[in-house]
Amino acid sequence: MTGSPLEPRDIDWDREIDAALAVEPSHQFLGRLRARIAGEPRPVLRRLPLILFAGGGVLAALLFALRLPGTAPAPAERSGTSPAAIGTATQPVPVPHAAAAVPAPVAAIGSGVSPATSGVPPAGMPRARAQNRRHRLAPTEPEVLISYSEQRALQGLLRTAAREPLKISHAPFDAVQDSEGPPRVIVVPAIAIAPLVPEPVEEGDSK
Amino acid sequence: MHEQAERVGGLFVVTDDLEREFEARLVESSRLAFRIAYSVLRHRQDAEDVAQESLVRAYRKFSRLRDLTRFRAWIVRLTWRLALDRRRADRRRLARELVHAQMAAPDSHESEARDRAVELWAAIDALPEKLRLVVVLASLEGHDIGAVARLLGVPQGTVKSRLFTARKRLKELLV
Repeated sequence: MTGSPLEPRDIDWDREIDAALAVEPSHQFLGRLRARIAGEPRPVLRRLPLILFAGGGVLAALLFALRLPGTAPAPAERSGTSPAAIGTATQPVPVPHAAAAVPAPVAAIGSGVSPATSGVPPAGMPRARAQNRRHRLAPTEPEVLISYSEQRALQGLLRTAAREPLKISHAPFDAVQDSEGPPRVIVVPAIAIAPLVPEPVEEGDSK
Repeated sequence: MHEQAERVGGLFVVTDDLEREFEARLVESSRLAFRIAYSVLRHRQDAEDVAQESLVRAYRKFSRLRDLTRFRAWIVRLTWRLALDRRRADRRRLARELVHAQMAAPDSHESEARDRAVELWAAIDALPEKLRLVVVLASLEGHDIGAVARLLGVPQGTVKSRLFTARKRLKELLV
């Protein structure tokens, strides 16, 4: 037999270990174990964690549903004005007629986005309503094409109009003068046009 | 699996099936738990105590065990840990018992066998814990490499490697 010299000894050791571990528990062991287990409270499936987990989920969903309409902060809260003047989240802010009169879909030229998706919802409008409005407006094409800066300015105007009523008045002449400088006076000199008199043509002149 | 649930109050469910499942595993695992404890403690009564404690703990937490096929591996780890804790706490008593066993040998042949056993266990005890557990489990109840790997939750290659290293160190210690 040409096996490894370690093999017989390994086998011997394994046998020795096996023999050393071949110890049986006493006959009373299982009986004592069963008696001890019988004295323990019965195994239970603890439903408390499941109930807590389910309750937490319902609570989170409820909080989310309650918070959804009022998620977008009212402009008055951002600007520090009294919330009473704005109303609650479920009470829509009255939009001045100046803002309401503007045709709804307005897109910036070159922005590549339609007003339905690019526009910030009008201030004071709850997010849910804004989303519904977005869905309604989605398929329509813009009616007015304006530049991006004009779009920004118009949106700013609408936000301001929603925040506080606009006072629209004619600009005083002085303000126009200050902003644009003195009006230029163009003096057009009177032009005197003399009537055309035909020259007399002599007889025999070939020119 | 828990069809025959008996409702108690609103928050807990006591299941008869759980008890039956545990009882089926108790019979097949009690001897394994005892032998693992004995491999660490080498004292029959202590090993029974530790095995009993291990199985009682398993009973208490049995409902939390999701994969019942892992029960034996769970018992192995639990018993091994408890036995090591017990041995650390009672190391002096173990030393006294070894001395007593050596003194109580009636004749020279039996005394030689006891010496050999003491020497063997001393060598096994000198192994690192991972190697020791592999040696013990490989010797218990005819466990093959695959069974030991399943019990420890490691690949078979790891078990082979550990077993090879353990035997090599035992050879160095015993020859």
